[in-house]
Amino acid sequence: MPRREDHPDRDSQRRLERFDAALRRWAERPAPPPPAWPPARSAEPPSRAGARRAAPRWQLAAASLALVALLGLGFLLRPRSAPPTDGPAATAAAAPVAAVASADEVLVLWLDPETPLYLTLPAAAEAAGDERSTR
Amino acid sequence: MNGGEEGTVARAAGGDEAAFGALVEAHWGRLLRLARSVVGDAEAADAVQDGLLVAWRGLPALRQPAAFPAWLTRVVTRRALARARRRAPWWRRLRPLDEAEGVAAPEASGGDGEIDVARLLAALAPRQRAVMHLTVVEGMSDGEIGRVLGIAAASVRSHRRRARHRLLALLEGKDPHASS
Repeated sequence: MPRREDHPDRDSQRRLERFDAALRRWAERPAPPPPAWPPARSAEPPSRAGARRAAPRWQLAAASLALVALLGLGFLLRPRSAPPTDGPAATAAAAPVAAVASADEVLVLWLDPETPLYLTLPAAAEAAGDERSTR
Repeated sequence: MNGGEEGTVARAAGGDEAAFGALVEAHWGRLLRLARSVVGDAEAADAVQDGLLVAWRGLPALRQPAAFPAWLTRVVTRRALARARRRAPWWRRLRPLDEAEGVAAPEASGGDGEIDVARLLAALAPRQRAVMHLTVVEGMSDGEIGRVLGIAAASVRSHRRRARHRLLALLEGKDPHASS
């Protein structure tokens, strides 16, 4: 029964009541019989379906581990550039962290054979009037 | 729910297909009527079948066999609602009143104008159709309907109120959504 607070108008109430009655009649039409169970498409028993649901998680974890392992291996086996054979870097190769003073009063520190760190000495640079440089 | 059905539910939860088939037979008519209201005659049987498959797989998780009828209704209703939402094209969602064009209004006075229930339901949002069916046909309370649909009882009342306003406009031949 439509609630009166929704539609206080009597005509509206009557219309909605007629709709409700029509809806009940329409809903009570004969229904076709139920299909056989299980249906033609796949319907595994609940226990088996549950086990199958668990499997993807295990497989996902294994795939993730394999991916991490591959990435790690790739990082370890990555091709590295040959160490410099001449110049200040070659000198520093024997001592990975070394300080070499260049002729331009720029101190060069070799963090590793491939990574120089340049430090300009301020006092010497001002006296000589050299332009500073950072590389 | 009687004790006999609880035993059947327990057996079905253990993988007994025949037991679940018996449950399907017992609840099929009720579920089909509900699906007809939500998705229409053409897709009702498919919608119920979808819901039954979901129920079959999820049945071991049902802790209280006595709650099976309400739980099954909830599963099938939600599958039907999802199907109804997927089916509607976006433009129809913007102008659902298009489907109500040409709906015959009852005769002005004393006539028994036939009400085209299917077309009137099609003019409502899927959830409104479900609320109307569960209210009018199943006679469920707002709380029960809310549990089936996963919404609060106040939302159920709101859906029903909007559905009735819409139905009334259609029955009176008015079009509140017509653009000026």
